[in-house]
Amino acid sequence: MNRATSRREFLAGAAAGLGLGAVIAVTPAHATPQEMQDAIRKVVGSAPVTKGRVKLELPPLSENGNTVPLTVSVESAMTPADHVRAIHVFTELNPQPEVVTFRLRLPRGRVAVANALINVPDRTRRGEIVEIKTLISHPMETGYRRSQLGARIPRDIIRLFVCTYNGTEVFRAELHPAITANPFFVFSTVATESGTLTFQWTGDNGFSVTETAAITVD
Amino acid sequence: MVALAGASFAGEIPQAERRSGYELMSRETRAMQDDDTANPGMLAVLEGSALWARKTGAGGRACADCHGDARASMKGVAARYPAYDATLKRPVNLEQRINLCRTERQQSPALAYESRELLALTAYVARQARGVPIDIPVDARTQPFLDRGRAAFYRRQGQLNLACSQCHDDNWGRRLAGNTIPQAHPTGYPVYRLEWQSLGSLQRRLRNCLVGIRAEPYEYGAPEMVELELFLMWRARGMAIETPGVRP
Repeated sequence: MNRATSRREFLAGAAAGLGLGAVIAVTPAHATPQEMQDAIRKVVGSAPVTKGRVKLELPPLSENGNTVPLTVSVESAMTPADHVRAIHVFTELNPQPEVVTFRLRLPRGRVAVANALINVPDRTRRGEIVEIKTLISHPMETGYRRSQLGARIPRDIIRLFVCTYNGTEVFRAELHPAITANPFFVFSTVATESGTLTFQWTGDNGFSVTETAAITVD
Repeated sequence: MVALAGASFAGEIPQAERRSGYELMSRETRAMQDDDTANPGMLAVLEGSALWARKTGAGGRACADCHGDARASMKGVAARYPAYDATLKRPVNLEQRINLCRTERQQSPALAYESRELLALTAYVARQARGVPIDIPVDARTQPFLDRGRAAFYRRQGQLNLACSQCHDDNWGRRLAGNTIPQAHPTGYPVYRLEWQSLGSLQRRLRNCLVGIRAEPYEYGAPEMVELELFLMWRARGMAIETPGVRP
């Protein structure tokens, strides 16, 4: 694959499960180029990388490499004592090995990614897992493309998405140029009390959008 | 080659075998269109609803000031476009109708083709026709335009000397490189195309195809474009509008 044009983008969704600092590499370790290994090492440090528990769902053949839906699930009890703290996605075929990083805080359930269209159940019961969907309008310009005249188009991406529930952070995604335009996230959390979910996207060129949604917990 | 050209008309798709491009897409892409919270085209619909209510131009009027709630007044309208304009004595597409309203009623400058605003308004209006079967009335006034659109569809053109029909009538469902060739029914426009990573009009899509066969594409809004649109919508008569569609 041509490195300059192999932009493989993901509509990323992650389902929380167990395991600390779960690392998802798209390809087997033996085939991994040094850059991706370095990026993984930067995250895990000297900790050993083991296989299993992580399930990556994406189409074997994508209709268009510009937008590839991705779901990551990790087997986990998701209890305070044993839960997933972060999910990192890497690829060796992009100009940059980092794809996206999700950070989860209890309470939480399932995670997926979207533009300032937000879907939250307005009413639920205490202890229920609620699915949250967010979609935001953004070009996610990679910085690797050139205009028809050959000039480099500067990078313009969302770098960070954070969801807080009554002030407490429940979900965080760190985005890289691999993420598609108009990123869509689906994730879940556990309904604990009535209140407000706040969603914030921040990125290059001073991009900052904040949206809120009310949730009523019976 | 002569035999192939002669077979073009014979390849017209029987009504019962017509398929929306939706049916030829992968499960993942269909899921993206089906879920309004995942469909990126809905961002434009949302923006369009805001523009619908925004006052503009010297008239200081919004679309809503004349047309009221689009959910009622625009219901099913997109399924009838392009429609004949008695003043211009030719069919106009939905984008042109919106711009005619802007320049004549709102005294506001026309919006550029493929501009964010025009796509948003078009998507918002067309969204109100979702599920409505396409119904292009044909009468003595529209017939010549429809005939010209049909002729363009079956005309070989460009350096590759290909007619639209050679792919979309005769070879739909087969593959052109990695892509499944659809029947070219314009049921979801404006569509969010994964390749574009943005919303685009039917004319943008037609221009892509024309460049693909190495023909010089018609300008946006050119009469030839509208005639081709008219023919394609007529060809898809009875099929349901899906706007905003998602396509690979």
